[in-house]
Amino acid sequence: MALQCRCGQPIEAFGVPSCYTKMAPIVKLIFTTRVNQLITDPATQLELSPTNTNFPDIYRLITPRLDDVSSERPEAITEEIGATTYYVRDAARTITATVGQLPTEWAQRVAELRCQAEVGVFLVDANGTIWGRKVDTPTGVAGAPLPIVPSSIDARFAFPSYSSVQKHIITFQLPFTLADYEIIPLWNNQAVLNNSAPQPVGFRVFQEAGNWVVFLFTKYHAPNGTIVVPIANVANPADIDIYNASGTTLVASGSTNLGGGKYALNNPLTTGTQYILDCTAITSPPRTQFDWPALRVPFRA
Amino acid sequence: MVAELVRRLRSVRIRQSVEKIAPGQFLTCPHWWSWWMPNNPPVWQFYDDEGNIHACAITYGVEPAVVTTSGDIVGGIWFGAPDVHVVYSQELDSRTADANRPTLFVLGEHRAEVEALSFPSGTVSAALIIPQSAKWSAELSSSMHEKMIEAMGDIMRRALVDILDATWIPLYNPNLVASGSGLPGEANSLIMTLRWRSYS
Repeated sequence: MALQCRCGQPIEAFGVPSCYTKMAPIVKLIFTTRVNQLITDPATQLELSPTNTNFPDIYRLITPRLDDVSSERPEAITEEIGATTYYVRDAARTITATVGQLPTEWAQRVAELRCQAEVGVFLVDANGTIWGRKVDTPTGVAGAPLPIVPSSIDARFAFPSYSSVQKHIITFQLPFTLADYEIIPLWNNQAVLNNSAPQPVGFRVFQEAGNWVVFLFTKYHAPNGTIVVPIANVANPADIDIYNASGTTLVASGSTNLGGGKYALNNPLTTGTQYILDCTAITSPPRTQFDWPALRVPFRA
Repeated sequence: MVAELVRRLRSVRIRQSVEKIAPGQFLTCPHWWSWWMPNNPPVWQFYDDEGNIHACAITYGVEPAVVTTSGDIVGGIWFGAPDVHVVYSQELDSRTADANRPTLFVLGEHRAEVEALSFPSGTVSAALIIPQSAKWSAELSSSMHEKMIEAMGDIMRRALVDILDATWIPLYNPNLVASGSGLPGEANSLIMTLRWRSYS
């Protein structure tokens, strides 16, 4: 939070430790929806794994290596009354990230963050240091993600020119209440620099030749002009489950691999009814390649 | 400072998805290991997503590359940059003679700049030695250049290193002896000027 002056506000000493972590250029961003999750054990809590119960989404919301990340914070908002300047509030910090040579579809992944009620971000610098927010707690100090203003998230695709490559430009704001001195290093893990997030899985559920069919496909085109790339031969088809809208009753499961990424269900669905597709148990293609742990989503038949 | 450059190059890990096309055969995008023509094709060790190591044979000079191995590659293959050696310029000739696959030789002689309010930067020359044991046509040689500079660009980008310039020195030697190694006289060279900054 920005500093709020109060009576008796102490002035603390200016001394600094001899050794401290310096921020290198930011090369990756890790988004999360767990904005208020406190971090006291970063080695465990910042693990990029679906089994991370504190931040279960960071394993898949880590960006590829970014080419340029810059950030600007305009001067504080002030009001001049007569000859006197009064501080009103800090301005919001904007982070701009540019990354070249990614598929055009990638911008949708970033834009989808705008639909979330709360989004936070960790910054990863060139040394593998993960930066977040310092939070004062009743018993001491903890870490947390940097909060961002979801409505400010924007992803733009820049066309190539004769002297530039195609690139995505991502911008978002941190809330103006976040002070710069709250940004601290939380953990250093150089393995994060080489991390590769799994790809999202697309799906459709429809009737075909008398069967209710689940069609699984990748969300990216293939270079040879294949617009839809099916995910064939998942193991096991029986791990494709359809639950009722409340997610409590199993309605149908995959029974037959029809080929071409299509899997027939063993029970019919009712058109117009809300269901939940659950593919979280699929193990092949592996979870490192496709984001099966996140594929538990509602749909209308 | 060169030590840091080398450490960063050696820590690069690249993942590429594979597509199974037959038992033990997988398609993937080629990278530096594929854009040359070996005399005796080496066995490549690739890790897969689950950390299993696979001894692989690959195709060369074509896109996509076919990877052949005895087991099942899970998800994708992981690989690093070519072997990186720091050498004195005076020993470049002898050190590169044993290169039997694309290998990066970084000269120990380098220039550094240190200024207030900026990260220290270094500039160095490096040679990617690509052994050649049979005659390549000029067209094949130039296509290898195009793809190899693309691969080096990818590696350097991941290591946060700029390639200030790169000169392709193709080999035309009618008397190749098929030794399968690098210099003298049996290698293409990609001579690069590299610039990097120290962030520590």
